[in-house]
Amino acid sequence: MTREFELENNYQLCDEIGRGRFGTITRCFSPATKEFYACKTIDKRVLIDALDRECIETEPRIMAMLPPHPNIIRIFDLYETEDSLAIVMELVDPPMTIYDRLISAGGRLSESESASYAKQILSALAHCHRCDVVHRDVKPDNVLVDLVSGGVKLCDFGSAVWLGGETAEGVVGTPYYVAPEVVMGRKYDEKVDIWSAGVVIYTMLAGEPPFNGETAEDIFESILRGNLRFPPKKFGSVSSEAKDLLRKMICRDVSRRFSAEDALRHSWMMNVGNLQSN
Amino acid sequence: MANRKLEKMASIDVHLRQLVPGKVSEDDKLVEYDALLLDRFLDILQDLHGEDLRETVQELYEHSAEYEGKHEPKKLEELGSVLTSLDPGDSIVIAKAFSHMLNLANLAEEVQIAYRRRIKKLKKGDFVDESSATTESDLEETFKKLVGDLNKSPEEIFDALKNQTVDLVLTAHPTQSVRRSLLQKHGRIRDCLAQLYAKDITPDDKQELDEALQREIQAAFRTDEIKRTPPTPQDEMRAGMSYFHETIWKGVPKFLRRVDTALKNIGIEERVPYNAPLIQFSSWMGGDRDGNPRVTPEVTRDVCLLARMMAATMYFNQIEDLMFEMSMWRCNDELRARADEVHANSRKDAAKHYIEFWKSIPTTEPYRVILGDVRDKLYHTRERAHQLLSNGHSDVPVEATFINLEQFLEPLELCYRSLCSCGDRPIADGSLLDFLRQVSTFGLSLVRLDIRQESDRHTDVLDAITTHLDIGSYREWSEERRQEWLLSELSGKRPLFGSDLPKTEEIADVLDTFHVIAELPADSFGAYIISMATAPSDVLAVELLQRECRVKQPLRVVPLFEKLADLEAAPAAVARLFSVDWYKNRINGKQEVMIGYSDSGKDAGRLSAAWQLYKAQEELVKVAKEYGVKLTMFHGRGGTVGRGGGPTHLAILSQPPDTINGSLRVTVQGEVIEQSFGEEHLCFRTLQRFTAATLEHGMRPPISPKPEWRALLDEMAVVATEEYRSVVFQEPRFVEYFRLATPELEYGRMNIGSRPSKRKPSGGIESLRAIPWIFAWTQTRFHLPVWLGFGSAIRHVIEKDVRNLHMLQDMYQHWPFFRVTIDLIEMVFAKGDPGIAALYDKLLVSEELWPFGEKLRANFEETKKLILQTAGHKDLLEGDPYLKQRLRLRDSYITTLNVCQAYTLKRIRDPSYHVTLRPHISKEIAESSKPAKELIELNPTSEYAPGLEDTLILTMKGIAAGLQNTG
Repeated sequence: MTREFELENNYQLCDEIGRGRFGTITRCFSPATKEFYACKTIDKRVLIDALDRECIETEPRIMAMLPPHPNIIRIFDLYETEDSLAIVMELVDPPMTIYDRLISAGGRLSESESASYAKQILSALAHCHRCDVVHRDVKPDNVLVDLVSGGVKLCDFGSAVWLGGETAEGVVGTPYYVAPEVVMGRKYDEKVDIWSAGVVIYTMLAGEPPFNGETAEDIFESILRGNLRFPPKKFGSVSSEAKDLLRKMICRDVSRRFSAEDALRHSWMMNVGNLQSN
Repeated sequence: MANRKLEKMASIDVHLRQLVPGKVSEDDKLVEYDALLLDRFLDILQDLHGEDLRETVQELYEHSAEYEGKHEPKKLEELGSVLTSLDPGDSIVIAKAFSHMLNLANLAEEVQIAYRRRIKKLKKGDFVDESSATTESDLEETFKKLVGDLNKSPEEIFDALKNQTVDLVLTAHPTQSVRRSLLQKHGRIRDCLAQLYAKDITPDDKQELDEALQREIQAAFRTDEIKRTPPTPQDEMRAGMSYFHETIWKGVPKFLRRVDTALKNIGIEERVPYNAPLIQFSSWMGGDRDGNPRVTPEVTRDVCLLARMMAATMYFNQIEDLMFEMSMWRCNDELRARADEVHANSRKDAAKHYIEFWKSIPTTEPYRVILGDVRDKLYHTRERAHQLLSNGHSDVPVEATFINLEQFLEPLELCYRSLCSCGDRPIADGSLLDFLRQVSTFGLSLVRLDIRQESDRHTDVLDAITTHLDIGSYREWSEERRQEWLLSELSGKRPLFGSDLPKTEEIADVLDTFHVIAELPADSFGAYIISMATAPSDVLAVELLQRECRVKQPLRVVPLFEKLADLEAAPAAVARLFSVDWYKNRINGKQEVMIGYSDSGKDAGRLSAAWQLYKAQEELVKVAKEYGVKLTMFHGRGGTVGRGGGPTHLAILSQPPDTINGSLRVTVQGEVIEQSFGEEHLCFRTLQRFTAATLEHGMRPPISPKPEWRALLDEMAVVATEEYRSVVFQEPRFVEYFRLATPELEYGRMNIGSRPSKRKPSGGIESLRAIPWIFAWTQTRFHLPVWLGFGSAIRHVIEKDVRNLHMLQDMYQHWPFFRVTIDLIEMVFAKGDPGIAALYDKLLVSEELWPFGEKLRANFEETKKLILQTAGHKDLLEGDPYLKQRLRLRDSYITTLNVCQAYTLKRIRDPSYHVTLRPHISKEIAESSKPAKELIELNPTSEYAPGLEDTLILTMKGIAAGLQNTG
């Protein structure tokens, strides 16, 4: 997929629409297809950590490997030079993540909206996991929402890894959302995504993450403690089914933690659409 | 509002990666075990009592965890306000839930300990629990060290091992506060957990294990943790015996086999001879009558018979398997002749009470013939013990049973020899060797029961005798006069008294105990221990009473020295004893002396007690050498640090040089029995730890302290005792403060021990036993008796000469005794929390005593600082961040229980204390209309408001279980 010629030859770069971990995301237009895309540009020179470098190199490979899925952002083009990397991806317009949505909704989402997003995130993860791909950084900022259609798309596979039947290691993820086995430096598998997805769903319902702290260290400690609570103040009106599913996703015992498929079969997910919006 | 809480977080990068707590070793599955058990428990809790109760438990846990993070007293009050708002039923459920969670955390840790591979990195100064002691004694390592570093020859090691005995003396203990029915469930939880993480389990196995785990956790939670009737000494003894049945019986031969392997690895081809008594077991349960009127002669008799019955039963259950295995027909002439003889004399009719080999065995299976005869004898031995126990008499003739060990061993040895001479040594070294080893370890009595009695009680008896004989009052005689009379009676033959001796109940009790000793086979008993012994006459008195009561093989008499003054005087007392010719002849060159750690600590503080114990041992050994007597030191250590406990191998290695010499006798107290023998691997490691450390101590004696170290410690001990006593004994309102600030008064109500918590029903600290004294301070996490005295002692010597700090650090680095002493205090500081103690003060202590409490807490902090300085540590447990973290995780449960306890005490003691209850939370599946009622009704006799007593007891048990060796 890597091309010799320049990105600018095929796309017109427009405004910056976001900032990723290692680069910027720019809206771009392809005169050939007459379509707008998002282009993620990474400056490889800023990467000093071996693990980060590896992740960057894996992202396009993994995205190319994944068969298309409606809830996963698609990749169209890739340009690489010694110092930089550019990935041309599907554009969600206006570009809004679940994080943005949470802010705009005043902190938390209704149970029905949360459930609908949850289901789509889980089906994206189920798809990845079937292909042996672990996203490793599921969080509200990495899920794009199309407010018009209500569709969501999982993006930023910059931390993803292909398991190939093995386990993964390395501390990757984001403080609130990262699974305890990752924090402990254990070998882990695709179940880390389920934990993170659980935390995302919890956060949508409660407006705050289940494991919190003033510093990253405090947060890590809270995750290890794993005391998953549903304070009545926040969860008084949330259904028992939702809490039940969350307990099964945010479960420290990996072998008992639900898989994406298990979660999709859970009664709360089966009833998406029947839930009253409030 | 809410979005302020949801910060946008960047993915973990190089920088954040460094904040991650760090990689946990792959072998360390503790967090996983813990999570697995606790999460499952919370699910069960939710199923049983509803989502709201679960949420309350988790809310409390969160508050506690927050408190642990920052130690803000405000958090404790928040916890308190949630806890006091619970109605009685909820409060019981919550206390029970936390206590249960702590138990689960302990189980997780046990499984972790049992499976953890040795950590190779030997880092100094970072042990805390038995579990995490990185200097763990391991046989192979010890052998390697001895051969490699010290140039000992393998033969020397083999020789030393063959002549070494570790005698573990199991004692009952009231803070072994977990019910046996719970212990068994805990055992099964532990097994399930261990198996779940075993490799190669199939998904079906896993599912079944999962179910079993769920079942056991639920069953344990649904069991009433509080025993509603106080245990009798017999109950305690039976509970103690269950460890033999469950782990020790099979554990011993397994362990000895491992010793064989370790020897082989250093080039010794021989096995440890089966009759080398590497490990022996004794017991105090049912024999220790010191201050416990419930240990009657009848109890002692029952306990012995029960043990004999259990032993016979276990042998009997095993011998049929052995018969199956011994299907060989080649044998030597000796065995052939015996088989023919046995066959000729055996009954020809069928024995229907046997399951296998119930018809006469043909002589073509000669081993089976011999073993068949052993089985018959075992059967009768068992039946006889059974009948004696249930009816008081038996119609099974004694000749049909095994009377002594030699009789039992002889046919087995015959089989062993015969197999070996026919080229079947590998077969002989299989189950037969295991069996032989069991027989020589456990004998016919399973354990040897020690008798312990106070010396005053013997004086009473002798006084009654001399008064009856009209020769004066023994009690009023001088020591010389007493000795003279005792010796003249001992050398004479005439009986001193008959049945007409006027006896009080107490005197009859003492004499009847001697009669029981006379009646039962001698191998049922170990030592006769006299507490509060001070003079040779105390020992001679017991000798005389044994003779008078016709004890055919008199028990060895062992004086116990436990108070500071007694310890100081002990070497002289023993020297006087040895200088009595009659006595010297009687003991045949062997003497055992017991030294008590608990009372000496209570009496003078830990530093002085530890140092005095050290010096007393050195002196005692010196005296014994002078008189040509081989001395065995019997260490009466409590399981907890306050009472002399702590990691076994360190305790052994820190003993003065030359004091063990291959024979160690040590108590394993109730509160640590579970940790030591509760599980197959734990049992194995306990045996290994004792054996390896004893061997190492003998072959690589610890260094003797330099004279200047001694001088420094002598000086410190004086200051430490002064400070300790100035607080505990001289501060006029100390006792009042102690009673208010701890649950000591209420402790007596717990049905946890068979023994009253005081020697005498009234009185101050002196009359209080060491156990409740330590227990009470542990409950409040203040551990006063453990550290009090250290601070001023260290400060004193540093102020005197600042160079002394360097000397202290040097002592810490190079002198095992000193190091262990300091390390244990450091551990206790790590588990302590003056913030919790302050809460007790605030709630329970009258205001004018608050400054006193604050003074003590300031002392706590200062002592902690000085201990850290001595150890050269910046922070408590700095060498072991994981352990620290682990303690912190566990602390959250304990803290909740502490707060619950403090407020419950408040409500008990101050009925006017106002609380506002929130609506009842807990749901019960059955009868949801009156959910709390049933729980409260479990305890219909409580003097307090409904639910308070049970809640209090649950918190006490929970805290004790949580703090383990500091409890």
